[in-house]
Formats: sequence, C-alpha cells, structure tokens
Amino acid sequence: MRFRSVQGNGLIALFFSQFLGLTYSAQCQISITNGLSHFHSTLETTGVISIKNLTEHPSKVLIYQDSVFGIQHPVKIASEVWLEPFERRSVRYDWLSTDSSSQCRRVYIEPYLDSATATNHPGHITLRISTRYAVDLYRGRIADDLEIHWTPDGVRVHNRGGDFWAGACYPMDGRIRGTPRLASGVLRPGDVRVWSVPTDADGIWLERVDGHVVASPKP
Amino acid sequence: MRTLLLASSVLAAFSASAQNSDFVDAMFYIDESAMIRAVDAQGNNLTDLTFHIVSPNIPGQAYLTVPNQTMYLQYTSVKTAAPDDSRTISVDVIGGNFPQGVTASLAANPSGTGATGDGNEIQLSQYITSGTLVEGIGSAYSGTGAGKGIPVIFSIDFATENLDASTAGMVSLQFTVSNS
Repeated sequence: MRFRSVQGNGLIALFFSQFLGLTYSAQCQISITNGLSHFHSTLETTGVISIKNLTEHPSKVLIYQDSVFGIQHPVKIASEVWLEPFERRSVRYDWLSTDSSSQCRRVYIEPYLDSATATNHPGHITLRISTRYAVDLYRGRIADDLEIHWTPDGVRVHNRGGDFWAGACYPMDGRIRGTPRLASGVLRPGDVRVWSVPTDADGIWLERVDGHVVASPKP
Repeated sequence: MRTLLLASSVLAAFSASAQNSDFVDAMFYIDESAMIRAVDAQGNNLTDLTFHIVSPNIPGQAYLTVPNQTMYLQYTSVKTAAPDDSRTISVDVIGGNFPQGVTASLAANPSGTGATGDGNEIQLSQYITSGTLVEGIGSAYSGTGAGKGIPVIFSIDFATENLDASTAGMVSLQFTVSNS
C-alpha cells in the first residue's frame, strides 16, 4: 500500500476499506439456501431470503428488484447487507399487506464487485465477469383456471384466471402420469405457454405443486 | 425453504436404544441450494477475461484471429418442487458495449454429477445483449478443482473491415442463476 500518496480523509477511508474487507469483495461468493421461488398466500405478508457468505472475508451483498413480471407493487427489502465470514443471514421482505391481487416480484442478489479494481488497456476487450441469483417471490392463490388448447405442435396452456398456476407438465401414458417431465414453472394470470408434446403421448398431465392434477387427453 | 422429510417408520433401526417409546420420528432438513462461481482453468476465482485484437505484421493482411478462452462455472444445485426444480444460467451485458464489428460467442457444455441440464451456444454483440447458456439444471454439482465446472468457451469473432479501434473497452457480463 502506498501510504505516502494518501493523506487525511483518504487515509482514513483507506484504513476503513481495509478493515472492512473491501479489498476482498471482488472475490466474494454467496449462495441462496432457501430456494429461488417463494410462494405466499394472501394471508402472509412477510418472507425471508436466506443468503450465505461462502468466504472467510466479510462481504457486501446487493439486493435489487426488477419488473420482469410487469408492473407490480414492490416488496420492501434491504438494498444491501453485510455478511460476516461464512455467515448465513435471513433477509426479510414484506409485501404490502392490503394487497389482495396476485403479486410477483423478481429479486436479484449479487455479491458486490468493486469496479475500481478493473483495468483495461487500449486495443483490448476486457470482459468483467460477475454472478447473481434471481429469486422469484409470489403472493396469491394457486389455482386451476387453465384453458388447454391442442395444436399440431403440442399444447397451448393459458392461465385465464386471476391466480397463479405453479407446477409441472408431464405426458400422459394411457390414463396415468408418464415421463419425462415436459416443462415446469409458474403461469401468472394471463400467461400463455406452448409446450411440445411427444407424438406417442396420450395427453398431458398438469400437476400443481400441491398435488392437484388436471389431465387433458389428446383429442 | 427447507425441505422437510418426515420418516416415522424407522422404529426398527432405533428400537434397541429407544426402549420406552413406541415410535421415533426422524426429522431430516435439507437445505435447498443455489451456488455458483466463475473460475479459470486452474480453479482460481475469475473476474476478468481480456482479449487483444492484434494488428497484423504484414501490410495488406487481415487481423489475425484471437485465441479462445475458457471460463468454468462451478456450481452446486439442490432443487425442490416445481417451479424450483429446474435452474437456468443466463448471461446479460450489464455494462459497456461490445466494440463495433465484434461478436462474442459463448458455448456452454453441461458438466458435473447429477442433472446437469442442456447447454447452448449464444452470441453477444452491440445488438444482442442476453442469452440462455444452460437450462434444466436439477440437483447436481460440478466439483471444485481445476478443470471442474461448466466450461464456457469464449470466442471473439470479427471481420477486419468492420472493426473500429476507438470502441474497444470493457464489457461487464453477468451470469444469473434463476428458475427461468
């Protein structure tokens, strides 16, 4: 460290940055330990995202929301947290309690990467690599209000209700569930998916996360 | 969310030490897990990849091709019920721009133990700023050592006549683990 070129407040800032481990942030690694999709009923207004620092250095973690699911009410959540070495922290988020309609948000979580450490030289292309996690938060009912329409290429599934549908789609083998799974995911109100179905399948078997099944034989 | 497995039929295994009770409940908690890091071929943390598009030595010659570079995405994934039963790794350009006339191709080959999913090859440029590299990762892990992980081969493609050196610089790529 070149202390001679740093004076006054600069020296203090440098001291604290070293003390707090900022120099290690570029190597910070974190994990999410309670899943990348969280469902809540409209009776629940809070949840947590469990984040673990995988390194032996204190690390800053950035949290931000995105609107990939369309315009929705944001959840209230911290924008950054500090994690001690190997600490696991449950970061709480809160929904707007008076909301009764289905809500969904995507929250991105990433370790802080100090851009000041990046260098570039004329004539070079430098790719700066970072990682993050997307945690999808849902609040509302899970129900079946699906419109299933068979097409020459597969099946078109439309969630025409005001609730979520969450689960997996399997082929039907006779009158039972076949394998392998064709697709899985969440259909938000209004969502449409087109899934290809094997020619030898006898239909599709839509199984919700709570075990409820809707089957549609091929016409 | 933790996955809770309740096994109430393990009486036989515990009966020798649990003489005063008829049943023993064994509770298993399994952390769901999503973790990823970028490393180089030696398994060291990786934050930057640098490519130098070098001018030729002979007047009249086109610029030479740039050697490919390989990054490894090391990961551990333990899935749960749908929709969190399948993970995806996508990439976005979140800062800077690829130089004019330059395209980066990223090719991912699934690697590891378990449900490692399917890999894709994508191209990034000034006009294409995102893509899905790997889909369908279930419960799987890559290993931690040198050469372990999902190899992502970066190749830089360009035509000399399309280059503009003034646009060289830094491009920030972010790899996202998600359900979709």
